[in-house]
Amino acid sequence: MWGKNESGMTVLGLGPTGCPLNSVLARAYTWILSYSCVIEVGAAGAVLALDEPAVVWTTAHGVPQRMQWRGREFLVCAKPVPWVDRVPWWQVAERAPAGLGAELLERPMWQVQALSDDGADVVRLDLAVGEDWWRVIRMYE
Amino acid sequence: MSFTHLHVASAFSAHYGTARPEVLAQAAAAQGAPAAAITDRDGLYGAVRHIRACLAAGIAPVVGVELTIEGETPGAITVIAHGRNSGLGWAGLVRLISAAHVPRKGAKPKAHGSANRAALLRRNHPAVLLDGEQGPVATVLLGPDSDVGQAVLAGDIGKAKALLGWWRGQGSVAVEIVCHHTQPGTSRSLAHAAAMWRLARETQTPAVLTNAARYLAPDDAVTGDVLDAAGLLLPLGSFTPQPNAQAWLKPPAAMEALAAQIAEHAGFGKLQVLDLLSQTRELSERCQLDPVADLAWRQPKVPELSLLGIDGDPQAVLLQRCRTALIERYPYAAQAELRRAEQRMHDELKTIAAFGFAGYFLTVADVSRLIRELGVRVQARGSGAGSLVNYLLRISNVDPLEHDLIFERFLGIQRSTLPDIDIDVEAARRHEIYRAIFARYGEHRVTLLSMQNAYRARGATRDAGLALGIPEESIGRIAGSLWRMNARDFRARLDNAPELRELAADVAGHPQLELLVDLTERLDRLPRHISMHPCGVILGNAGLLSVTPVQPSGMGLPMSQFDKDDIDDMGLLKLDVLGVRMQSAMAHAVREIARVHGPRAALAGGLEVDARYVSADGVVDLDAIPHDDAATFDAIRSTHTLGMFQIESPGQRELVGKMQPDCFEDLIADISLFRPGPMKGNMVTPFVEAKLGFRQPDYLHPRFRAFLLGSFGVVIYHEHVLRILHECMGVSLAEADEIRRRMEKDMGFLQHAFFKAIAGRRDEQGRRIFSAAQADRIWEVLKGFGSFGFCKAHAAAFALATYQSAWLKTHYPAEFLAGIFEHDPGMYPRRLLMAEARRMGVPILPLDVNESRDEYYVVPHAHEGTPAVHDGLGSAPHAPPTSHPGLVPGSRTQSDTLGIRLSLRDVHGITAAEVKRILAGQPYQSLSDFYLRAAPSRALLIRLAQVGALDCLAPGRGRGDIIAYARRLAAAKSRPANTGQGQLPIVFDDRSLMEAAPAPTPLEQVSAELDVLSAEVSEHVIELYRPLLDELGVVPAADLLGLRSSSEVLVAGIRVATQTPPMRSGKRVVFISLDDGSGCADCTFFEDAQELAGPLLFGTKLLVIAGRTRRTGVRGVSIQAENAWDLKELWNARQRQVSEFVTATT
Repeated sequence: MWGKNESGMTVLGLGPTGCPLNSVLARAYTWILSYSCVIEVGAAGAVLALDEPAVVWTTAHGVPQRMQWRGREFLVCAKPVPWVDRVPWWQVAERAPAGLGAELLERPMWQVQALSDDGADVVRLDLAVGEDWWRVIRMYE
Repeated sequence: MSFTHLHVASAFSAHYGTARPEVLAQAAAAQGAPAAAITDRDGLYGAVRHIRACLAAGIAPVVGVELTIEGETPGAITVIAHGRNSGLGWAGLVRLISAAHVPRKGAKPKAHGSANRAALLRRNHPAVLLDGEQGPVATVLLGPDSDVGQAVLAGDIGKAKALLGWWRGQGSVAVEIVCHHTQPGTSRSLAHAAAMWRLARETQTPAVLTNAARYLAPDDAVTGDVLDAAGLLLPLGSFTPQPNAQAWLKPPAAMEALAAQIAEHAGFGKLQVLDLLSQTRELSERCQLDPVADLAWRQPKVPELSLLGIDGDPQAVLLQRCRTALIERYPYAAQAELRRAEQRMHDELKTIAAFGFAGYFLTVADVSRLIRELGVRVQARGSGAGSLVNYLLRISNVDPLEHDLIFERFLGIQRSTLPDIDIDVEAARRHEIYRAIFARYGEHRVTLLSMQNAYRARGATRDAGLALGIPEESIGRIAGSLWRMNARDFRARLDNAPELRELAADVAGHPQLELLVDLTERLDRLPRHISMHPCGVILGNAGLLSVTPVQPSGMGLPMSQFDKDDIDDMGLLKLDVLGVRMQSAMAHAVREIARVHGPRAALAGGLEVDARYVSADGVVDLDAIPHDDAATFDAIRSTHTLGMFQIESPGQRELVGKMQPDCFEDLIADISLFRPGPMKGNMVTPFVEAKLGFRQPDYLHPRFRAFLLGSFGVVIYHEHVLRILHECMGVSLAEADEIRRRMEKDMGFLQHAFFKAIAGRRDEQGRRIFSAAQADRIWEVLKGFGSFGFCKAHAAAFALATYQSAWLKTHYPAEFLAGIFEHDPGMYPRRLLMAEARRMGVPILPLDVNESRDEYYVVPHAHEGTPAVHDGLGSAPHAPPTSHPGLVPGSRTQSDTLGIRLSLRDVHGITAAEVKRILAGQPYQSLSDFYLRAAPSRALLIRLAQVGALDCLAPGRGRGDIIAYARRLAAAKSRPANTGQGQLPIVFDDRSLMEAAPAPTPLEQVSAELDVLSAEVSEHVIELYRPLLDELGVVPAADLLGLRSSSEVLVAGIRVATQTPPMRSGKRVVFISLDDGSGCADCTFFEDAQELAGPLLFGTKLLVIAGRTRRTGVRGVSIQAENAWDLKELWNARQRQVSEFVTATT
């Protein structure tokens, strides 16, 4: 669905450098600990701002279907909603000449509801589409 | 497959849209849309351009507006006019917009450049203004930002239904479905769009799909971010930005896919998708405007003749008026001359009749009469001065017969729109004139013209810097170093402009500055805000307010949302009433002459006592002065032209020095030659050489001699080209003007026709009039002329003001300079003109709270003891003193007898109320008396003391004592109490209370004067650096003329002018003029010198420049600069050395 990720199964089993999944996840966790989570309280309840890696399997159309996150497996259980987020390009970009604007500014996203593999938890998440790793940006409670 | 975007903001939604209407319309046409819409925020600012672009692209225009609703349920709606209803939709839209701009009671005017929306609509306005007798004339789109859309977002469908029901009761309504794929749960998200659509279907309201576009392509979203920041005056990151970059003009396939996606989310099928798209198409068809039927496109809409008191045939009235005026304008003309004038008049009237423009001329004549009756100086400018009818109607004061001006240049044969007649008036009274025009024609027929201010390099840099959060100080420095360039050229200029060298080094590898450059370029030429046009007034018929939306202008009068490029297409009559400060200055001078001299005015000005143009009580009729006054031309030729209209710039002084004008015709030529084209086309040299007799004038052909005589054979004017084409091709002058216009764009088309026609020109004996060789030469001249030439009528109108100001400066220098100080008309700071006054022997009398008024005025002034003011260093005044000062006919006022008193109004920080109180209380007996009755602010009291304005209140005490006393008074907690009402305050001599204090040093005095008066009175600022200047051997500007050409010199002074005028080579040359109190040193920087001077070129005020003198004519000298330094830096370096020396030796 989103640009480069339309090829279907974008990510399988291995992290970007090809190392085994577990060690990648372990690294990711230590990384997460250094992140402070911001809580926004919206009309729909509390929202937890995150920035955590996840491995996502998609359908043939690039729609997220299954994911691994925080060491657990999740299954997308309702129709995911595509949306487009923005990034503060002025903090990261080194140039912004005419022609590159959209790439600088936009980030494709999915909002999904997912069921943990043990059936215990249902979470609503905002996922940022990535080449290899996707990122979990928000969790709604 | 096609899709019409119905909700599109162009760049004319200031600080919001990013694409120009022309670009959007072309893109829509390229996408295969049958129509294109423009719905700018709060107005029709881009609508006329949009319609024009649609017509060019062959698609139908749709026009609407996005407005905010005030009140309990605020929100934004989009209103689109229905088309093909004889303009009812357009009129409704226009009136709705104007209503939204009516200022709310007690509301504070909002600042430009803020994100504040200027217009606010009452909720019931659309119903009132858009419901015609045959049903609604426009449709309201209720989108995500409407009250309905907000209720839907909040999940309150019941409320949404109620609101929608209310709207449907008001007129034609459609629900606008917008999906920008924003975060779920927010406005414009997929779910929001789906819910809106469901609401529409449940209530059976029409629904349309739009993309609420604000840019052409996603790339522009970055520009949008910067505009948002600039609009809010907040850096990026400190406010909620636009959600993403989806609001672009998506192609039809993308819009259909979007519809399908929303349908999927809403649980609708293919049928509903088709329904949505077809409803969108239906609305767009209903809203297609027919420019001719709906807007009376390009059809003149001028005031009704009955308003001018004319019933019957305007042509007959015009003829009658011209006939009467003929005798008045040419009272002393010989019979033959009069007959010639009459013939010309009839010819012009015939053309005017053919166009049906008689009413237009009568209207303009009526306006100029109105202005004259207010006692305001008025003069037509531009090609209009070429018309005898304009001269007869007193719209113009330039006699077209005297200067061989051609009517056809003004009004040819193929004109479809109204000709421009521009009128110059006194700047200071412009608003008064506007109000009078509104009163005369009625508020429903008149409105001011607006103009769109677009981003240029400096503004763009400032706003991009603001968006990036770069400190204001750094941005100010960067912006200050940008000189006359387009924002889009920023990066290119960084690479090659010497003054940007340091900035370029900073930028390289510094991401924030790299971004700054990119963002600045993105803002290039985008409209920033709308403001009052400096001179345009629109006159229409009683239906004007159904044609153009209006909004309040800065001065309070209503202002059209259209700018000058819109007027012709809308068929509106634009009158350019341009405020010219020089006209105000001259009016001031004329009043001063009459006031000071009364019946002896002619004598005082060195004029003949029976001069026809001076009234018995001393009022000079400037428009009647003879145009051959020898003394005036002597003064012009001396190149002491500071203050004279159009010929005071360094380049002009050089040109005037070279060509040595001795008649009015030369002044016209001078003004025409000082332009990019003639400079590049090298018309100056042949003119000057032929005029000074160094070469024979070359008239190309004996037949041309008559009309090229005055320009010594040089083809300078459009009028020349018309006559040449007329002679060579046997075409009428009107046809010749058409050819000339085409020539400017493309010479190629003419070549064949020209040679064929010229070969066919035969005399009675059938011989060729122009030989083949002559034809070739003429063709070469025409080709060289290209688009360089200038309209002689225009130049003649300018030259009139040039001559009048020169005449005044020659005969009444004190009175004239008082006018110049009062109205500050020229390119130079007032302080330079003050130096000119001293040079001419006109003392500047210091500020004095008992003598100064709220204007500069001339004081008869005893010859002995020049008070407080020193005469400058310059050369002696050019008229030698005689035993009877000022009594020699032909010479000017003996100026030593007249001085100019400084005005209170130019004291830094003084308020209008303070000026008024000071004037009301004059005279004052003592300092305490002044402080008590005039009640100046404490700071003002001290400032007045510093510049000696209080010296008169304590004779016998020094300036230092007075300043100290003023400080003491100001420091006291409370002011001395006024002892009861109606009682005279206690006046006492407070001199005894003053304590002795040291007098201010010259440095302190000059700095105080510069701070308080923006001009030095006691001595020139440069004198503060005298020791250094003497060590360096700096040459005073006045002495340059005495040096041999090519002498190496150092000059120093304060920058009074910077110019990058047109050059023959096309390369940039920077002219910097320095004033050192003795005169002006004009320095020329070519490329090498620009490299060396680098950052000093445009910013630094006090400069030392090294270079070689260059003689530019009999009286002209300039300096070819080789290097420049900052005088202050040199001074500091010297001081350091001195103090090092002192410490070393002690």
